[in-house]
Amino acid sequence: MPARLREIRRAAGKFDIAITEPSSGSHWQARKQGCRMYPLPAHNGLRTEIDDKYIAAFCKHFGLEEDEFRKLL
Amino acid sequence: MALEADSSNYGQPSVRIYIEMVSKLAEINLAVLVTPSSSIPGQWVAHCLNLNIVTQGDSIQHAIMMSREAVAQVVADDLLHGLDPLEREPADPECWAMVADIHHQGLALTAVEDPGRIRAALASLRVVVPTEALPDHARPQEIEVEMLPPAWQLAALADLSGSRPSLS
Repeated sequence: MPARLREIRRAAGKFDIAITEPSSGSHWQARKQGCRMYPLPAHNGLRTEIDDKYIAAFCKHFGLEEDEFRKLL
Repeated sequence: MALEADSSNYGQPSVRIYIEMVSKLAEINLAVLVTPSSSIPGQWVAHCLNLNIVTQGDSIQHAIMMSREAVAQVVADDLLHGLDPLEREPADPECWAMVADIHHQGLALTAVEDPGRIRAALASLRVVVPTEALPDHARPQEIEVEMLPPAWQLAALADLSGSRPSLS
């Protein structure tokens, strides 16, 4: 199931991942202590629908259990 | 930054890296695999395999443009933190296998008249970065990321005969 960016932002916060809007561009940025930045497609702002493959890649990057993350969406 | 002049980045021979010592710039070619979204109709998912960065767009070209922007952000951010972007974990081997298949069987994307037949597309990004640390004020827009010419973009078609990339 895809999810809106605002849902991903809320769920990521539970894992201490901060998602911020940059001053320009179509990607927001997700950061967690000790991890590299991962960009989020946000061409429609917080309403952007995010594809399943992206969610899987996001979870893998931050070392999250995808099922656990999806329960929070 | 510790970029190595290695023609087989992460064991992937499709990636060419060379370092221009005179200008102190490194040029890196990155593979971007674009597939239709399986969960959102009309969206295309772009996966930069070298950096394992996924993004999406409203069309194949939009997805490639989105990948270009995401790559610029990632490369700039890594360099600003003293990290080598090429040390990010690359995509899984099956993704690279798809790339090899598309190279082997794909058609020029520009030659495909019906986008509905496209099951996957392959584009390349050329990234030029300084081999020395970036100044503090560096921003993503200062990282040069170019899309290689559209004529170089390849497409795998759904009704291509013979073996073709498995996209399931």
